[in-house]
Amino acid sequence: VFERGYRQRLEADLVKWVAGGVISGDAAQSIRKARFGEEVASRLPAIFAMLGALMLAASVSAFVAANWQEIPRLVRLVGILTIIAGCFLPALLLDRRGMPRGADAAVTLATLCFGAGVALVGQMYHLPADWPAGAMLIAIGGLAAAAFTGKNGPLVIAFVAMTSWSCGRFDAWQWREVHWSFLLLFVPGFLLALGRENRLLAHAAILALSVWLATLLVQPNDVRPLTAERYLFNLVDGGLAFSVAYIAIGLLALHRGGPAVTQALLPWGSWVFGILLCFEIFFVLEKALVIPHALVPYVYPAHGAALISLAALAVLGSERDKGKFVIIAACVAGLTIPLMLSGFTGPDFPGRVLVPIAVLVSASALIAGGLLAGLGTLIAVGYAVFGASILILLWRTIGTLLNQSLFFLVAGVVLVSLAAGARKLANRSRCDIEQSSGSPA
Amino acid sequence: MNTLDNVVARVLPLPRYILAALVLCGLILATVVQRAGILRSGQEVRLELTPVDPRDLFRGDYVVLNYRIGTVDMPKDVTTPFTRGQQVFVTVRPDENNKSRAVAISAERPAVSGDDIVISGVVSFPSICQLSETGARDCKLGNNAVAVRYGLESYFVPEGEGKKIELTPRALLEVVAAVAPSGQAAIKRLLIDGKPVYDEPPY
Repeated sequence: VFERGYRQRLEADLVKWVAGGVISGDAAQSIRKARFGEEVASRLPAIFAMLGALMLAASVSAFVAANWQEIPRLVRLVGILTIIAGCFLPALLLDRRGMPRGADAAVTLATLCFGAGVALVGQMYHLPADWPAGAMLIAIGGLAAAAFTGKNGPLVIAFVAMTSWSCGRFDAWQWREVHWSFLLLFVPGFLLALGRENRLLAHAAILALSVWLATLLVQPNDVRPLTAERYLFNLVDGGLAFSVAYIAIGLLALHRGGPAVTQALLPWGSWVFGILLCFEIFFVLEKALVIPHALVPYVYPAHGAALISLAALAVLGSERDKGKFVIIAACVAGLTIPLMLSGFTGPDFPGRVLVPIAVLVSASALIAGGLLAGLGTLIAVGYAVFGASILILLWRTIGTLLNQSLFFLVAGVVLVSLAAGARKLANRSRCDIEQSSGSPA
Repeated sequence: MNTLDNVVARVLPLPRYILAALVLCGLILATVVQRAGILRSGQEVRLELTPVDPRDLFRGDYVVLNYRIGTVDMPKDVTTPFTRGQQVFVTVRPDENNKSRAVAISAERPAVSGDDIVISGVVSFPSICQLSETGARDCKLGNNAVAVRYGLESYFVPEGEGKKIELTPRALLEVVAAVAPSGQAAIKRLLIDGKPVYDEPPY
């Protein structure tokens, strides 16, 4: 999905193609240069520089925490301010000498020391009660440093800080209103991240967004009852829908060469989708949990987002991607599960059989779609869900053991039949290709 | 490079880096100046308290301070109950021992007279048991009280010294807080048996 993964795949293919005589060694070298340029310099110095910056920042933080009275507070404060300002000088010099990663490490150190400075102010004036405000301040500083210097490290810190800020302002049991002010910091951060090809940054941005979206799934405390189960159901049903939206948008971004931060939605969506499918299968087999499990209005927007994203993928996604519609089918199968467990179906609805079937169908479709689209993440998630589902089904028996045996028998026959059908289809396609390549033009 | 980065990149690197350093240092300094202002010119109130001692992983040792004015009886004429997270204004008045007691709570900032001082706080629990005359929580009196946090609930001490304060009898501990005209408060002094043991300079 990302640059490094693509580079590894392409490198493996180039070696194979050269060995097979498909392309010449010179052609392979030209492809490498055209795609990645001349530099394949070692990233080791940059990695060590960043780790060193983290250690130095940890040292400053621990020094602040010690609250060492031998040095007056004001001197400590001036010291931290000097370190912050001082880090920007080597950063500028490194940037000018063509060492952007070293410069990134220096600006990251400055931002981390800024965080330590905020902690020192909190210590000076005894302000830990409102630590989310401190996190907000660190996020603002990180955003400013990232915007002015164009570096990624401070932006990662900003995303982590704004996630902490949003979590600190959220209280599941006394939730009153959506933390909209999160968007005031997230949107500019996201806009910055959109233009930067950095894996860690992309994941930090998606983490921040995901945590905030999860808080939207909680109903206000004036709508009772808000029980632990109710909260969990909202989170699972709504999370399933949001993860489908992530998969669809991420795949669409992949098809259209979108920014890394939008492509990062695909692995996040895939894994969360898989995990929540396993939760759903667990819920439905727990009799006590099925009864209060119904869709509530707080998760409707998530389902709306999922449907719109799937429609966009179907219409705007690459026509060459054969797996696109199989992946959409996998997502739709997953989305039917909350509906099966909701009030739309009667009390006699055989959810304990149909939900596991939907999960297994979804997992199989993820594997198939991943194979057709060449997406290893989806294949891995599909296999993981399939394996976990079978384990859960063996642990929680559906009806009697004989019924369970029948369930696995039918599922096995269906899958073996599908395998035979797919094999025939593949043979036929290969014959067609051979015939068309052998026929005169 | 996206649009935002492109826009910023029009400025030369040197002024951009200087600006970044100024923003980071300025944010810290602005917070310091604002809090120091409260300590320098705020009105002083003496508050009774009860401590417990945790440890903040990021900032060393601190003592948690529970104030008597942290529990305020609900006014009888209030029609709309307070909600968690709501900003409130608590009027405190010194008693005969010069220790401040909460005498009123309101959602809007009230006009003050005499020795009254208004402190702003945030509701942490809208309905809790009231306090008896001795300061102990007594649910037999009803749960018509509001728990309020003033941002004064922690006191940082040098590493390892928190335990000493924790072991001090509760009745001997007091805090002198400075209160700005806006109602924001900051800890100015920690007293044990009426004698200052920690005195906070503005800077």
